[in-house]
Amino acid sequence: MSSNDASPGPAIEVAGLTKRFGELAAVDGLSFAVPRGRVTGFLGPNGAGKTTTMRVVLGLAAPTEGTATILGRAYSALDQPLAHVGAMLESTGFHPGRTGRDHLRITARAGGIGGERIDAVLDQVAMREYADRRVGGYSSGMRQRLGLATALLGDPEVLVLDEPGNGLDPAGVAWLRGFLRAFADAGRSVFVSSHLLAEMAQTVDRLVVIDRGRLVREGPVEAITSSVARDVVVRSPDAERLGVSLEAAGATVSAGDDPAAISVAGLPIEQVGEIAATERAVLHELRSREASLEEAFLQLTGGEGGEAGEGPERPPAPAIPPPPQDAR
Amino acid sequence: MSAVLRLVGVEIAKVRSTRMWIGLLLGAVGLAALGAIATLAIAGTPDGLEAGLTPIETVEDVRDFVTTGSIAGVFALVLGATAMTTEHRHRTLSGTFLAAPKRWPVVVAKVIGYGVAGFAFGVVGGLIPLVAVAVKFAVGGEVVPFGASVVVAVLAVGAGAAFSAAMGAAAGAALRSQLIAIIGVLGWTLVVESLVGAILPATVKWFPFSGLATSLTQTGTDLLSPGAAGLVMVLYLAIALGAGLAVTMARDVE
Repeated sequence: MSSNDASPGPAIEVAGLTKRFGELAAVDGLSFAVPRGRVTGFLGPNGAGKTTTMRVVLGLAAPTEGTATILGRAYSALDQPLAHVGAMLESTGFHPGRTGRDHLRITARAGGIGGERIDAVLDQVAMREYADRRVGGYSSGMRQRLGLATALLGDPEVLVLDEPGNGLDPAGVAWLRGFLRAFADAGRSVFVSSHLLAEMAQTVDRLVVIDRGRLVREGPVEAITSSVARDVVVRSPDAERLGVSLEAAGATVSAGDDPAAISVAGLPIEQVGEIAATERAVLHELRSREASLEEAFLQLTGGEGGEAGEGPERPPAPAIPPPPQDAR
Repeated sequence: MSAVLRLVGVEIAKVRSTRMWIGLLLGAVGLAALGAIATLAIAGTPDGLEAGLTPIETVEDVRDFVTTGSIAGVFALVLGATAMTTEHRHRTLSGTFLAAPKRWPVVVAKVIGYGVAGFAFGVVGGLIPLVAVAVKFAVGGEVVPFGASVVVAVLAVGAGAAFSAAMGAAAGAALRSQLIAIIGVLGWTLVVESLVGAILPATVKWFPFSGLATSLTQTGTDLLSPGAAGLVMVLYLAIALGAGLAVTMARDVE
């Protein structure tokens, strides 16, 4: 345990955090914890306060009220912070006239990190081939990889990543997913925001969901998706007639494009089956449907969703595939 | 203190890792060379004598001639003004403060690091007229008059440029816009000091760039002594650094 590890508590702890910009409260009394050895996703609609919260956690913005600590301390109180916390913020840029290698060299020197880590992280993100080019000629995916390499420079125990998948190609996103999983499985901690909900669903163990700067829900992914309303899918040639009976029993019935399929909310699957039997309706399908992360997110925040869709199974990805040759 | 020293090295590495310093140094060398050649061409001629440009014959003449390289200080000032504003412009400041979250050492390191770079600019600027006059003497089959005072003059030009760069870095830390910072320092140096100096000549000796920097390389009844000028420069730098620190410490990093 490092000298920075002031407590055996969570990797990140936010308590009563408020950040105001004039009259606007971007973050409003927010409290949550990011446990060690887990990938914790940070979800919220655009403008919910995710990036602001991360900036306060990283000491880049001062809280109006409350506290935010990493490894039990304020970020600015950490000795050699890069050796303990790796961060990548969406808004962080690079000097276009500097090479990727020089960027890493300068960051390493500023953070008291040995130069031998530079080639290691360049290999980790498959950027060694492009390291001596000026960043101004990088594609957005290459910049994202350089940002990840910067976050990994100090071989940190905590990663704070703001939309790390932006700009990555599908192979890069798959690598990132596997990397974050392996990182947490090694006992380290990840706090990651993303609007790619399908990716989040496959990657994270826990979620912190915020909206308008306030905590909406915090906990394991399964607990959150199962806590929101689920529905029953019924497929029947008698769907229209059955729907009328179900509504009479108090259900909320909605139909989709398929006239033979209805979605039933507000009644348990057993009661739906019993009503179908009473109505002598032929059933082709009767199943209970768990809410996806996107549906849970939409219900919890009451609005804007991310990019949804079922993603592939979690692949083992020891090394990131090289970026496409689309450097500008 | 070791953190500040480490960060000074980081700032110098930042300067060297991009091409801006090359462009500014070439500008400084070009203008210094142009001024030196023009001066050498007319010094001692009737037109030159009318303008107060006597022939360069003694070590003291060479010493005074070297100070025409002070124009490099303007380029050093611009370089300094980019120290923090470049970080805002390219949104690299958050990365800087993630690596070194205590902000005051970063700002102090920028002022020192860019001061060192400015000193190098000034020394190069001072050497340009020295080389030019040495070439002129060599063409005539003579050796240029040389002495310790010439070396001191070159170093004094360097010190003046170091002060300019450090002031630019400190003032720039209080601003966010690179354009405003560069226009601001150039406007102050080339317009405000010139205009106010023309209207109120007695105030010139207190001006940071036209008065105090000149006091390091020249003597005169209308100038402060080099020691007094140095003290006032330190005071000005402390005020600018205080403003830069106050803003940087208080402001959220985007």
